[in-house]
Amino acid sequence: MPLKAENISKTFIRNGKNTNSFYAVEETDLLLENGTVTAVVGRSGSGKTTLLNMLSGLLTPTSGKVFYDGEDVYSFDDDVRSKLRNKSVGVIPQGQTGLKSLTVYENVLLPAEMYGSVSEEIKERADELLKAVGIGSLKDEYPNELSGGELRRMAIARALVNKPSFVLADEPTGDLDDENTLAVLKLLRSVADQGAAVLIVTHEKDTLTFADKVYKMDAGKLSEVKKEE
Amino acid sequence: MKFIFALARKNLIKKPYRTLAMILLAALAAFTVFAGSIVVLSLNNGLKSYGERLGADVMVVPSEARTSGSFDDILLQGITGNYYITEAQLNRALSGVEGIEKVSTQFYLASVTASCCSSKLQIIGFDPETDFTVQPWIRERYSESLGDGDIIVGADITLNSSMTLQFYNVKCKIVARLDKTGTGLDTAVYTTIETIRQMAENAVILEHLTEGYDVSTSVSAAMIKVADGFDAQSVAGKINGRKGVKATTAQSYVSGVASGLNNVAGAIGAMVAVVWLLAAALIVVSFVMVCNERMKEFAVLRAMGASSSMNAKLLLTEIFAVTAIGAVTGVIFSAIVTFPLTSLIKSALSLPYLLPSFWAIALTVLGAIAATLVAGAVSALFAVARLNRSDAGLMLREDA
Amino acid sequence: MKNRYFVFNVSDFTLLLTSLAFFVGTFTFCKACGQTDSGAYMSCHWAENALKGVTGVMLLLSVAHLIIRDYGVKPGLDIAVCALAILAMLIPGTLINTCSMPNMRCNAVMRPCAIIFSAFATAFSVIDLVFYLNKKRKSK
Repeated sequence: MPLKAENISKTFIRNGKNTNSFYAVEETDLLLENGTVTAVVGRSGSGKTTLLNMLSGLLTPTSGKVFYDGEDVYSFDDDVRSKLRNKSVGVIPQGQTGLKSLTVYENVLLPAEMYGSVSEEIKERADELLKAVGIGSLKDEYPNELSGGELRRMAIARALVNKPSFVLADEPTGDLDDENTLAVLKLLRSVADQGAAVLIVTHEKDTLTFADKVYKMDAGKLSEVKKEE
Repeated sequence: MKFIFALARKNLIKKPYRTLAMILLAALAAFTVFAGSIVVLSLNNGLKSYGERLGADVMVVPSEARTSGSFDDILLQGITGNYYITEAQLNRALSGVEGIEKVSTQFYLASVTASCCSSKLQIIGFDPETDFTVQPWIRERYSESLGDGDIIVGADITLNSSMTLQFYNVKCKIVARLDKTGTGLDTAVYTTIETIRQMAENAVILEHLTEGYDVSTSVSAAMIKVADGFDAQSVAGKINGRKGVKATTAQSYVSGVASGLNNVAGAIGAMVAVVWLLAAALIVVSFVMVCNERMKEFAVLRAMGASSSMNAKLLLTEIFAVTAIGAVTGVIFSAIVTFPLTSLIKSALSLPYLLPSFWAIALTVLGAIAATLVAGAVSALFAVARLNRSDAGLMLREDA
Repeated sequence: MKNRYFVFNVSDFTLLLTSLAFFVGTFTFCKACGQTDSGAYMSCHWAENALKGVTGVMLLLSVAHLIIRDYGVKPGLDIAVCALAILAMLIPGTLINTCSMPNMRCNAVMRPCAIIFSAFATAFSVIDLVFYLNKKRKSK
């Protein structure tokens, strides 16, 4: 049950003196297979996040299609697509993304609560996830009392609570120290080992050792990098 | 929807100052709209009852009456006056004037403090035989004819258990109390011309009234009904040509009051409009600002699987909750302030002021709440437009 | 927690300011009618005096409420202020007669002011009470 992107591209209209458009992502194909970790590396501004947003159903591509298990994501309207994203995609956005009015625990439960009630099983799962990312003791704190690394780990637990088939992580290890980086990457690897397709977008080389496939993004062009080691 | 309500509630509670400030803004709008509407409605209601109670087309008073506004003083503020003219003089002044259908004389007397704690009252004596101005609405309350010593009191005069009041040693029996008019007539006492002359004679003896009036042949005013086909203005003009009297048309009183009322109502309306617009603008600006600040939050919700309509609903729920709580609070506080201060507002405005009926007030409550919700809805429109303009995918970029 | 600290100051100060305005008001802008021409006091004067006393106690309790930071004592003071506010609302006109004419000062100004201030004080003390009871329950 892979996530497949066919010929997707994104152009943005630049508002300037000469209105023109430029490619953020040039036409490309991408296949994320279950049980694998795929890494996309590249400098900031190279179009990595745009690619990830198109894959997660948040950003309609200028051309091309995205399939979840063979279903064309952008053929649905926003409500259906959003629900699909909620059920099958775990997004770990860039930066600090805790909702400030919810506790850590409530933040983690948020995707499960969105379309339906929270079962005991999901609550247990949230507890387990919080323990797994090492912030089990902080579950009743609010995001403004957490450090950057703790918040990132919360976002990861939150992305995994609905047992998504695809996990799309945008710079999951940015501004984390070595210890935390290693813990996060190990966690994402184990998610892939349990059968999910994981995509990690990063500019850090540490990720590469955990990835099965590595792509390079350069000025909107995606190219596969053969792993040597 | 349950999820949206729960999240909206947490969002509002976790930002108590922001929420409180917006509730206060909405409350301010509701407060002014409600208070302003009640005042304007009361003024209109007062003018209506004032016009109804006037009854006569032309009023004639002795020229010594302080100003042409003497009636205004009595009718509007209950300020009392004593001025008299002999019946013979009055008849001379009116004789030969064409267009007079009915004439009825009245006798006015200001009381000295009637009993403990009462200010001066205006006693109005009318002639039951000829009267056409007072009795029609007295009959609404009291259908029998007034006997000697019987009085009917205005709505603002407190009844005591004995149902009697004493003026200038004349003990009077209160037989009825009139409905509230919102005018100076609410503090007036009505009786027959015979009873009032008794009081006046005593007043002369008690030296409250200057000697020199022959009380038994004097009157204070004549009410005139103009015959069909004649113009009240020209009848008044002709009477004004005679010596010792001056005449004014009812129309000029009513229009004088009406123009005063229009000025006040206009000023209040303008003030309400300004405050409402200001509050609405502030609510709009603050919600749009809050919305900008929360763009990332909404984008995160999108990433977690919220549809854009869900985000819009969340924002709408928050705006609606805040403005609804504010509107209800504002109206409650407005009612707490406006209603007890009725008589203060009335004397400050010097205009007839009569609270509207219960149902009119209930409608005003709903109207004020609705007006505030409209301000909220306008801001919601802006905020949701702002929300939809942004692209969740782009908002999630750290540098965006 | 820092946030919370300021919130309870807001409600403390609101209650204190209301009590203070009410107390000062009974000496200034919401006095009853003065003496009559003959120099006698009318009954509304005694209502005014009673209001002075009751609002004075309200003010003292509100000051105590501000100073004392014990979550057990504060709700008790709120209840006391609330009860006094209701008493103050009933004094002019109900418990002690005011003058008989509605347009006299005691009826046009003093009584409405007493009703308005009492209503505000009641509302604020109840809000404060709910707030502190909540806080006490949470801190357990």
